[in-house]
Amino acid sequence: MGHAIFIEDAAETKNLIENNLLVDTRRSWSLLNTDQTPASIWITHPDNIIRGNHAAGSDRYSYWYDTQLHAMGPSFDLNVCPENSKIGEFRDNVAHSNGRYGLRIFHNLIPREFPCQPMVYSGDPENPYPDNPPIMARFENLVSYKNGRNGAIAERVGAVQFINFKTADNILAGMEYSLTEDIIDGYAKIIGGVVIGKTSNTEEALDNSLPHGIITPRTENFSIEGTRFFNFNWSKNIWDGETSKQMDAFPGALGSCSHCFHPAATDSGAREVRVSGLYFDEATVPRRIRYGFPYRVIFKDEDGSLTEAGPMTWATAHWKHLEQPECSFDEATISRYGGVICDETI
Amino acid sequence: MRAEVGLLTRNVKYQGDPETSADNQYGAHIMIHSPGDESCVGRIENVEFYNVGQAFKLGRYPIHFHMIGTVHQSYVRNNAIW
Repeated sequence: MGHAIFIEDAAETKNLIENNLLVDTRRSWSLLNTDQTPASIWITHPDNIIRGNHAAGSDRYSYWYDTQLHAMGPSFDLNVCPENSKIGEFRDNVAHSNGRYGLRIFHNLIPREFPCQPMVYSGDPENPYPDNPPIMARFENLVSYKNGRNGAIAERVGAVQFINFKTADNILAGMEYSLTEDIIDGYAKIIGGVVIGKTSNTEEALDNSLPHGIITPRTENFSIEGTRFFNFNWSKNIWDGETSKQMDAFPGALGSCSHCFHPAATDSGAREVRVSGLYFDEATVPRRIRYGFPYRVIFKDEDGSLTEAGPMTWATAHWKHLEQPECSFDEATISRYGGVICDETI
Repeated sequence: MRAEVGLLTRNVKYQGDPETSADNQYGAHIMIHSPGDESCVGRIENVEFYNVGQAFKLGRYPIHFHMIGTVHQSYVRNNAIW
């Protein structure tokens, strides 16, 4: 019961956790508080090596980077700052059939050279943090499927990248970033990977859900490069409060404004997300975007792979004031892109 | 696609009391402790652990390296805990 493999005080580093099989991790109400939401591997300090593991069927998570402010418990030390430390390695792991998330980074992961010192932006994009440069955290080659919420989620992160993840059959989303923080553009990214909405080997719960492939953060400074999307072609009949009618709703390859529906999310959008090199399977991805509340994100398409309207074009939600000559807002466009597409002159 | 297959048995078996451990959720455990960096070597390999760990008790884990410091010579490898 509780976490299966864990590093308790957030002081330990350089452990190698490799090629393990972890199955059926269960919650406990009587151990650590976090054992109520257990992870098969609970990682309180990121500078450890997590490689080649299979973790399946946890009540909550497979891999939880529960990064702490400082080392805690008997190891308490103000000079150890795990949530701003570099990651050791996270590569070639498998996560599936968990109650919530395959990989969860929560709350913070903003790695930098001097973890206990702040990062101050110099104003120069060429040399943005000269006194305390960020250290890239590359999470690579995760395979994550059939999770009750997401394949992978990052709550509040700096230079963190999900590289070549393969996700399928997740109820809420393949991948999601909630907040990018303390970082300029070009660091926090999803790179490559394959996102599958639904395979032929799924269960009823997914048929009654409307997942996204990737849900983008409610902050600036995030991009998606070279991700491929397949199998988002089903629908669910829902009650539409606006029209007071039953209507068909559809899953979407891209979603927006992570957790903006939540009352505690004070930030409500108008953010820009950069995309390039995306691939949407023509036969099985009829809807490339389903916007989330408050319908205000802007996708800046650097090469037209999302909009099919050429480089430096835009996709955003359909508002009346956007029905302009530079934008297309016909029925086919709105059906395919969930909103309007605007040309490069904007 | 959901299946995971693992071998749970080993020739060497470390187990709690077969009559009471499961009922009481009170099993055997291994705790390795000595004070200071490189002060001990713990190597546990190819062992089956059964009826191990104690519910509701922190620190009574099936295998536990407790507050030692660096242990570069130590490993826990190819065991089964179930």
